[in-house]
Amino acid sequence: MAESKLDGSCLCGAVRVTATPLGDSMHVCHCDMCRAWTGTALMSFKADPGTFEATGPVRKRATSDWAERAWCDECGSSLYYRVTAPGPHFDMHHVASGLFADAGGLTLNNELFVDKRPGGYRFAGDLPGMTQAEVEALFGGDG
Amino acid sequence: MSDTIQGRCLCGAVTIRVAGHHDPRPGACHCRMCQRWSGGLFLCFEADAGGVTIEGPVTRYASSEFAERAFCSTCGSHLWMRDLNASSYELMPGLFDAVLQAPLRSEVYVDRAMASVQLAGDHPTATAEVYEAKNAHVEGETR
Repeated sequence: MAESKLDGSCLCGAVRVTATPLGDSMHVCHCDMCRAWTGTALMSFKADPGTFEATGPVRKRATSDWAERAWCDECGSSLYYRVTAPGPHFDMHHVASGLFADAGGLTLNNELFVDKRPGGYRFAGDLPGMTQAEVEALFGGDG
Repeated sequence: MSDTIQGRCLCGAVTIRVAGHHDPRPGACHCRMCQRWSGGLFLCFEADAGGVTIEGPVTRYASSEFAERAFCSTCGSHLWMRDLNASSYELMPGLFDAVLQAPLRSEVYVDRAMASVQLAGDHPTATAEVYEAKNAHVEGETR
């Protein structure tokens, strides 16, 4: 898996994406912003810098001072979260896993903002997680 | 339940008021269409259409001959999926603080879930075959 380029597309097929995952895992984010945006939580993987490409009607919005979120303007499929603030994480694309069949074989192994996960469900297994405080200590903000 | 609840998208441009009967428990769907749209985790809860009031800029995508998926035209937040022949909405729980603690109602297309995305619990589940046998018109499968 990983280290090979993945090809994917949104629900309607208007947006085509390619990306090479950075590593072999993906994560899910339960922060308030990701929850409101996706309606659930954002499941995504980090793309190796410089490898993410998208064609089609990609719509973006700066959703905070440090990141933007993008979706297909035709069908609304969530495409990615991208860090826009200067610093070590600048331009990192967190690409929506669902665009790729079986998430490109990546393994879900981290829950960000795990303390914000709704009480109504949880994932099977003991996934590692990071609380809001831990994420903010690492990245300096949410959303 | 019939207490009134209110939800809003990430940017706040769309608000949804549910004043009628609704079941706050989310149902999960792992079909390929829901994966592509959501990014990997799709949950929705049912509300009688008569009690649902929507305000703001909504884009509707006809994802099949009988169903639509809707999102905020401004920020791309997912709002609902709806069978146009039904008298209900399948709303996205992440928009509504009041439903976040409700336990899972069901999980369908469990055999199509991403390999590492499994939900814990003893809620009712259905495979694609079982679900499609019970539902003559479903928005189905892989493409």
